[in-house]
Amino acid sequence: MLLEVSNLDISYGEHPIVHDVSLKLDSGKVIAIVGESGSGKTTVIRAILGCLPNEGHVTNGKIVFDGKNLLENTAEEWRKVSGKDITMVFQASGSMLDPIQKIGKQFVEYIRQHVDVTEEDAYQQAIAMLKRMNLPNPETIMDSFPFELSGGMNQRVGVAMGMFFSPRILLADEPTSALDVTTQAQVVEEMMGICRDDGTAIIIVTHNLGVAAYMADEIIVMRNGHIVERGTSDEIVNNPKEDYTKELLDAVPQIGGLAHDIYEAG
Amino acid sequence: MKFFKDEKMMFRFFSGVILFIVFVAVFGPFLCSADPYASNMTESMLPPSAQHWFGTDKLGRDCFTRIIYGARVSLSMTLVTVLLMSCIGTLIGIIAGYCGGKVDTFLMRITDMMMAFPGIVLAIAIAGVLGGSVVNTVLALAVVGWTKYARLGRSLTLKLVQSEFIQAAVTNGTKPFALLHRHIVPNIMQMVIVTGAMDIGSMIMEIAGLSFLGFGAQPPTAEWGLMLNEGRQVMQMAPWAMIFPGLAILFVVSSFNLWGDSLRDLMDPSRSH
Repeated sequence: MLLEVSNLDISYGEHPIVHDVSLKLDSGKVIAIVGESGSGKTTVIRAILGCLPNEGHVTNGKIVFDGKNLLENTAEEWRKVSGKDITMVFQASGSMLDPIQKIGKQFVEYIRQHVDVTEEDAYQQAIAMLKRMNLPNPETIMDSFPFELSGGMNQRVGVAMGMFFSPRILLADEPTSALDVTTQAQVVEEMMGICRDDGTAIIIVTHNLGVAAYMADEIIVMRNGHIVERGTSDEIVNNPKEDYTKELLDAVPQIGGLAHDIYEAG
Repeated sequence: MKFFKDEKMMFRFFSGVILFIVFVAVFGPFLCSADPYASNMTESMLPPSAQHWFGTDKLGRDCFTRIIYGARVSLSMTLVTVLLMSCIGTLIGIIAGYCGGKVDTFLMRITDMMMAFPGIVLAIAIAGVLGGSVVNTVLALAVVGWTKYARLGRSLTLKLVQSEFIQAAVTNGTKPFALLHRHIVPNIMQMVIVTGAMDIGSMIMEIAGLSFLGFGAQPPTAEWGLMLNEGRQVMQMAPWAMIFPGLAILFVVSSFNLWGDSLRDLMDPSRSH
């Protein structure tokens, strides 16, 4: 078992947000957590990476990665795990990059934070990774500021950085929701492709059941901090048991919606 | 009047003025032949003339030459003071904002304590205890002035640490030191530089003030505040010995203030349009 989260409770200050969440993840598998805004889905994956905002803290439960409870980590142990073994791709990678530094400098810096390579080597490897993400003119991208790139480009740069070290687990927080439909499909394809090649496990948080159904082996539906329903993609999409899941499925946009097609077909 | 509305033009114009002042301070002494320290009692208190543009003081020293030499003293003291207090203050502020908790409380209570003293009075006290000299004046003003930068650095750091890209850098496993000097320092530098630029003018005033009171530069140094004080003793007989150093201070301080304002207008993103 690569990652096992058991009975996780999380509070912001005195206010409990997430109740009794458990999940198990094997190498190479994909879990999707779906739910509306405020359902606590992002909070769960942030807890896995130990980066809960300000007041957030885990009040109960365990997060065991590779046989070790991450919650007992020291700051330095966290630092070594995060960004290398476990990485995160954010909703808007553009705002996750330092606005006053060029992409290249940040990418190279990120690599050199974790491995001891020369700047030149790091630069070449970064270029290679951007090429793998099918980004045109990687040299130009490396020489750009984040605000000079489109949302889709920034997002792919974010995914490229997240995938760079072939992490054991990739945590993706709404990685496609800021993108238009065409770019969404491309980014999802590229993420899936690279993960398949490298054997990376993914936890993707999304409110798009189409993306979830397409990518995930298992889907977890969350509402108000509780797990409402869980099952294989097939079960959830074709045979939802809870009313809330059905509502979510109905809420998927109809035009070209992947989940809709699957839903209809089943 | 369009000229004064164009922020870039304003900045260029005042930068030109500042460059001129710096040029005079650096190269002026090579350009004027007179010795600012050579007293000549036969030429004591001469009014402005072709030979002595700004007249002579009671010891017969050429006021123009002394003002040129004084630019060096005033500017170098000011720049060292501003650099010293902005670096120390910002560093303390960043540490407080970044570490938070007890470190923050400790550093900020010290800052509050320092701020409770009236600045110039404390500077006089420090300079008085240490003895009047150029170095002690700089130290005294830096000890009083760093608190503003500590507050600024702290609030900017607090805001920045909350921002998404810093959070992302943390989740990417960036080492704390790299986080500080690669992301936090460069991102708050702009505001610190603007504040520093706007402080230069008031620092020139305070240094001249301390020297005027006798806690700063000591005779016979050619320093504007000190020249004012020496001129004061002969004000009725040789007003030029006071007027011209005063005008020099007025000119330089307003130039730096206007330059600082135009720099702020240029760099403040919330005011751009």
